Amino acid sequence: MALLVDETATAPAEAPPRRRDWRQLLDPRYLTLAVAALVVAYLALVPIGTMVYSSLRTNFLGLGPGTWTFRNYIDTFTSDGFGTLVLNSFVYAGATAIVCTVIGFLLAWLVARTNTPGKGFARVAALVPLIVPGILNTVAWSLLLSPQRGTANAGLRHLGLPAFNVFSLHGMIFVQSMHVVPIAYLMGVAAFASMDSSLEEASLASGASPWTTFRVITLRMARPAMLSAGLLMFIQTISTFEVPQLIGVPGRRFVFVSRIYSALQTFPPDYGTVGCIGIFVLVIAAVGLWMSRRMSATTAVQTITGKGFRATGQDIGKWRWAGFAFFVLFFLVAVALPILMLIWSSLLPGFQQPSAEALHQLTFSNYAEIFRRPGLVNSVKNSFITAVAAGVIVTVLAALVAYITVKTRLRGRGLLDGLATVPIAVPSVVMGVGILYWYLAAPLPFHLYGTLAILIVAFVTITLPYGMRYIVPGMAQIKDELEEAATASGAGWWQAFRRIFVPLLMPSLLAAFLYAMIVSFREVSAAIFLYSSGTEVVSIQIFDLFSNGSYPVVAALGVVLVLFLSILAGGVRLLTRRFGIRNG
Amino acid sequence: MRRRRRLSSVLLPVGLAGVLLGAAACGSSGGDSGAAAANSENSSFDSMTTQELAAQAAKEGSLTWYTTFADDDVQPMVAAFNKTYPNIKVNALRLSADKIPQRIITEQRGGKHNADVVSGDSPQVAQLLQAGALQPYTPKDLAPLPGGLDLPEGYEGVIYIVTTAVGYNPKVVKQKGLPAPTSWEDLTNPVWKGQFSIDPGAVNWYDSLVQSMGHDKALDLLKRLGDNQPRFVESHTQALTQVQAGEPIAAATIYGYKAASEKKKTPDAVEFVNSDPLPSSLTLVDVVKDAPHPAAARLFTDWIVSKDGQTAVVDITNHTSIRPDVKNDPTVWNEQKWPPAWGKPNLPSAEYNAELAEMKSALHAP
Repeated sequence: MALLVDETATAPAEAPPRRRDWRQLLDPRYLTLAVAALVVAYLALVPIGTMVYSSLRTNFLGLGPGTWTFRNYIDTFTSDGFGTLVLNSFVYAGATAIVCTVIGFLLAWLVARTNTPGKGFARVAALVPLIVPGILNTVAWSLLLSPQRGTANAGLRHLGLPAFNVFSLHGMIFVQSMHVVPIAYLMGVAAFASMDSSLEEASLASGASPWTTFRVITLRMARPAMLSAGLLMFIQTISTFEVPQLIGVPGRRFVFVSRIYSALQTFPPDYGTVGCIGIFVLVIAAVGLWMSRRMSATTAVQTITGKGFRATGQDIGKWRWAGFAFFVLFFLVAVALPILMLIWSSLLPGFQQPSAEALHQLTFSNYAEIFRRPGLVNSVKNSFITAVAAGVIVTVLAALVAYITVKTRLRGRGLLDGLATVPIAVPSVVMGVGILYWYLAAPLPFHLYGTLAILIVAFVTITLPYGMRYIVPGMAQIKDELEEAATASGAGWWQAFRRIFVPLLMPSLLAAFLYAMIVSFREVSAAIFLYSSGTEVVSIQIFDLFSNGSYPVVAALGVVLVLFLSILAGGVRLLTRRFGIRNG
Repeated sequence: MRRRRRLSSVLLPVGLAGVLLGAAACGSSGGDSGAAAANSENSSFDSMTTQELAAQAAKEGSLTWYTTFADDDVQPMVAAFNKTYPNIKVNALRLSADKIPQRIITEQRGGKHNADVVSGDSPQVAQLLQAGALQPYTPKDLAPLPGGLDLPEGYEGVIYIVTTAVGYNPKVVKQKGLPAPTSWEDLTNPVWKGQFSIDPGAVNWYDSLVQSMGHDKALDLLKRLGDNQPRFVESHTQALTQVQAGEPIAAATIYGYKAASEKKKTPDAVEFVNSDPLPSSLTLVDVVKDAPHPAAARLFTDWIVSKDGQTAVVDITNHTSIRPDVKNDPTVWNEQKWPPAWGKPNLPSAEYNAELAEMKSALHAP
């Protein structure tokens, strides 16, 4: 983890020397930061501990006694096809990360910094793909693009274009990209919204063309955030299961997740292999994080200074219509197609490809069926509570930890940044098992098993790394002089944090909150180990219906969920617009 | 600088917590000894009559059932039980089969005894049995096991039978002028190349084939299926949805009961054929060791294997009952027409893993 410490990153603010005595311990600054650091370290150690331990044990959670071993590593890394697995995983995740970063940041730039028409519509459209549960999104695409009978392929053929076989590496990249663009978009919006436009204006005023300005100023200023986003999506893509399982496996393109699933099918599940793959991903993540910090450090600019700050829209002339066309295209492909497929499927008694003759069979009976489900209301309530709680906790924790890692020189801050980031690499099944095991077996003074709190713990741990990546670039842009000015004017640290950082960081905080909330709502792999009677969540109901039910009913539940979450996300936006963002 | 040190000193207790985690994990591997003592007091419930059990269970007030039943089926099942025993609240926890052993074993190791009754696929229940996580109890009014099958004494509760069939889309088969498949052998024909799906983890199906055809023939069939480029599927819902969508046209491993209910919804798009013999496997129900509600657990187990309980299972889930006095869906189960090819009940983990590995390598799956 020492790799993650980067002494050159951003100018640190050393507080003016004060008398150091015991009272300093009670200083709210240290108290708050220490508690946040402690919580993050605690949250991270459970899954990491489980992952390391399982990778080094024979028979982890099996029946007989286990021993220490390196066998798991040797077996995993020398197994047949491991090289192909690594190659496929890198191509798949790398290409997805690039495609998403480009699309997501372009959308974000158009929305946050230009006068492109239809921004309100684009804001909503860009978030919807994240809201659609991963399983349903993936199934919808596999039905739309199935090579011979897919509706979208029929459309392509109609236009004289070749059919697109979704069951391929290209297909995996395409579907995953359409799904995770919102992660990059959210990060892009956070970055662009808190970026002072005076540099761009200066460039334009000095006669540079809009294109040159975009290339030389805007892109360069956005670079840390873009690297951060690319890395996030790379890791996210490497570790999510829907696309590899539902598209990769049928298409015989195997990646890490396919191996993890395969290892979990044996009795008892082979957590040794799962742990080793997790460690491998962790190493990649650590190297990626280190590289992105190195590369950001050379370009990071603190653009939010004490000298007035504005993030204004730029007039891009005729190009705004190109921007608008891009919104529409994105909406049609990434949002409308899969959602229409979902709606279509939800209205049929049993799945059929769209056709005129199927029209007369349309029915609302699937909707009636899901509203009859006894656990539905309770599980929506549980999901709502856990997702909002996780969102709030992640936002607060990530903001505090980002402050420690960016704005202070406390020793160990690199370790803390590392700890807050490590859960990203832990396969979520390991996360689930680790948390289950810890709260059942550890001699703790409190009992979380069987409560919603254990789910919140899991969701916070899973989404914290993303919260960090959303907030760190924003934090890095705020010039230290602002805090120094506040302190010099007699404000306490907490007051300075609340009055300076929180308002300036609002776009990043909002992005982190929305992301953590939506992902918590959707999370399945870890939650499946942690729910119990009475604490079921919606994502589990969807997964359950998917493995035991019929697709039209799952689709109906998906449509209802998308509506609910869109309203929720819209509500959050409205609220923050009313109370929050004051940018210049 | 003292301030610099502070963060690391704050992190120290957390490091300790990490060590504890390791210690707790080590300590637990051998910790199943105290449970044997509870068995003797438990056994007094075994000799109770139904009335006595019911009275005792009403005092206990509730029970917790860990089950693989689909979520929509659980509540109707509970309602059916409550029709006879209204004073016992049933808390059902729905889990996928592969998660059941882990949940119960981990809970027991952590000293949490939540589960009273567990029902699930036989290899998973076998794993619980092997881990000593179950309480032997022979339910009253137990139907005789189907011919040739053997379950250990005290663990004979069967909740339903699952059969595996070949499914296809009749409309598309006709459009393409393909011969409708009638067996897995048919799917090895080159005309079906790449046109059918298979679940590479369907060990219950493969094991039935091994038991009925002999290992070598079963493996050979699997290899030829694998060479015909099947598309792998993740779940039965996915397999059936694909058949309904018409691509791939057929599915080698679908559950009979599920195909039958989808066929009712879309008769043009789903057809299925049972083969002779018909691969069949048992789903079991057992009382969990140290069940917090021992009387209610036994009462529920008694009820669910009884005629009333089994009638509810068939009506609500369309699964097949082993009871001769309960009427099953005749398109899914007819022993005269399709004599069952039984998989080994309580398949030991080692055999399960060996068959799984064999399947994957024969089918070229990951």
